[in-house]
Amino acid sequence: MGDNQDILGKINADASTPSSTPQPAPAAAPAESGWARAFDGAAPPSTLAPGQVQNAQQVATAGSQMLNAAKSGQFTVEPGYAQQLIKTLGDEVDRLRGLRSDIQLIQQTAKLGETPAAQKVAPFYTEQVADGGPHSFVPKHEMVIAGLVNMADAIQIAMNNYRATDDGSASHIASAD
Amino acid sequence: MTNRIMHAPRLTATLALAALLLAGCSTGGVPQPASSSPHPSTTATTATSALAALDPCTLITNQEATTVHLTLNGPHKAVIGTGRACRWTATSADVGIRNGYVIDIEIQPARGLNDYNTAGFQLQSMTYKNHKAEQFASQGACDETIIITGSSTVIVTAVAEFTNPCTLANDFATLIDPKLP
Repeated sequence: MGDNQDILGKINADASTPSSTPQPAPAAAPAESGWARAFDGAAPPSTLAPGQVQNAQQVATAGSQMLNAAKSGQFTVEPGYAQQLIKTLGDEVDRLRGLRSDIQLIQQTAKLGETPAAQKVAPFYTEQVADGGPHSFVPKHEMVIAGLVNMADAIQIAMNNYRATDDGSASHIASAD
Repeated sequence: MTNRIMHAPRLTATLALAALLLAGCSTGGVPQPASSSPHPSTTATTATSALAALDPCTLITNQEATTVHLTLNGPHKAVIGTGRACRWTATSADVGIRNGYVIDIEIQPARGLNDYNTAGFQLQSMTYKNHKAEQFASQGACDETIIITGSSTVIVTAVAEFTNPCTLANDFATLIDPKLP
């Protein structure tokens, strides 16, 4: 029982310890600034499917640009709506993590062997599914998650900006009275 | 004479113990799969039977899951044909989007360590209290493939981008290790 409590305590500590390994690299933000313009062209999170990983770069770019825009106070979001957006983004990230787990096992299971057919398939598998090439699934997947997390952070900041603006207006009105 | 009488039972016991040990090492009769597990009291056959009856969703109890903020998503379709899987999620809503992670446990009663692809993974041999395992690490995901017998395994997969998934997979493998045959 003591061992059990020890390991459960360790899990809680480990789960909140930032990784020392390199994080999924968010896309570098282009020079443009407006968050709405940044979001234009990116796949909305709720419609992102495994077959649409070509949009990964756009999601990552949109996330970076939204975050930069929120940090510089370019937009605010009403708290009730912001919470809904953050929840939706979080649900999508949770779903994508489940998908990543399946991919891990598919990678581990695909023992292709040494037959001539397997030799033909192996390069395609490495490039398209595993993390062996620029068009493979795993890096794109990480890019999408980084983009969605940045969007959630941006909305959180924008919500705080809204509250700060609201509080500022209230105190301004109070002082005018 | 007295000495002989006193030592005779001890000698008999020693011979009986040696005979038992030799009998245990015998490979006669029906061939048994070799157990890779250091678990001393479980034969490969009983381990395989016990594994076949094991529900992966029982390996992390509700109380344990609650303690570490996991939500049971329930039985999950196994990626590998004959396996049985279960999924838990530390949801973004419960722990924050950065601290969220997924834990899958997949029981593979007919797939041994040698049946897996190792290409593209960072591999590391692990030893738990009752079992040995091989760690398969890749970007953003990591699993501990726990060896039950030469032809059966249990895989604990962790997915996390902002914390180390191998640390989490290792923690959960440590948690379920005593519960495995």
